[in-house]
Amino acid sequence: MPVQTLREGLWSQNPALVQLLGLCPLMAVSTSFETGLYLGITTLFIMLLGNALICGCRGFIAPHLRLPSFMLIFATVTTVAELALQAVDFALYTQLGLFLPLIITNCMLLARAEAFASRNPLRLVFYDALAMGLGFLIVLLLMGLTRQLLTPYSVFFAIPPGAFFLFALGVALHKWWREPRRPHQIQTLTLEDDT
Amino acid sequence: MKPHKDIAQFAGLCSLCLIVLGVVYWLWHHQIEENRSEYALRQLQELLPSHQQRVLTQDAVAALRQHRKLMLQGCGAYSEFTYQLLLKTEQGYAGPLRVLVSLELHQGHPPQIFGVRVLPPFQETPGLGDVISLDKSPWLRQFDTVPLNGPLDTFDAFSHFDTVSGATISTSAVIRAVTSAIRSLTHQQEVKGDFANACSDSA
Repeated sequence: MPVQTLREGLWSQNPALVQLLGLCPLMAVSTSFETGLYLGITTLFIMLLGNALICGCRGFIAPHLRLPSFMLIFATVTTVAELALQAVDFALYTQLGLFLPLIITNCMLLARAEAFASRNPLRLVFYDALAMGLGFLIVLLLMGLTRQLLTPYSVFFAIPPGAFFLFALGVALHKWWREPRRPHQIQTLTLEDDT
Repeated sequence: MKPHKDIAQFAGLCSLCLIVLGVVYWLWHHQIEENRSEYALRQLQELLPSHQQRVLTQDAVAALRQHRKLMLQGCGAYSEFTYQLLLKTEQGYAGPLRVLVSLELHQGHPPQIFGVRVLPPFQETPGLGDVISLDKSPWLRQFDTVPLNGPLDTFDAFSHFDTVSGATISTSAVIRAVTSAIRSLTHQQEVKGDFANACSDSA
């Protein structure tokens, strides 16, 4: 089960490349490998802790108040992460800037909380959060590395439109890789003359 | 559906979150304040030449916060140099920006801007307004070692420095702060403290 969940998060159901979630921070923060790594790790931490808390508290959350409750839990976990980063590495905190508190609005967190964490046992929730967080982290790292390498050749890749094109290319490559490749079949049509 | 019970549960969850945040803040706020002061000190040191950097202490940061102005006299061979650090606040796009301007005064020479920094935290738009941070853009480098010729009380930094398209409000705020700092140079009052006397120790 963990292997299957990991495979889904990293490849077949990747939150960025397949579900197209959390694209705003992906475009904005992936300007370098380093910032991508830090934001990806922070998002992974928030995803793990937030989803575990949602799973643990779901008995106390009213169904029609679940979305504000999920937001509240993610906001708390993100603020804790922000305070921790300020205490541990203030320079990194200033480097991530406003994107750190904006993790709260990452659609990936809310989507996984609603679709998985609020309906499954803790062990599976942990695997799912780990897989999805790692999937997002890897895409952030790949984007950051590619943009960092290409920016000296063209400033286009340093700005969000360049990131959009790169990301689109990544989605296309991923889709091409995943599609079952069939040999070209030549259909021969036989025209029968009924007359 | 029991609305009262649901609301009570939600209020309980809110209270729990508040308690968690309060405890975390209580545990770390000393460390956060210390890191913030150290970061501010490093930024101050970047705005002074190397022979002046060791004079700066956390007292200097505190004095700058209190008086909004700090004056440092050069030591030894640099005794003809005076450095003024001015902290100006201007309204940016998403809140006030605290801009630190360093000015170098040398007898017999026109004064010059030594450097400019924007102190964190600020909430300017990521990817646009954050060009005012040296980590994101070299835009602040245009202020480095710029001589100030002509009358200072009518100095207008907008005729010397460029704003950035897409971040006009943020960059204009920084340029306004530089203008204000330079104009205040003509009628400044000297601010002294223990840190200024450290000159004799470091010489």
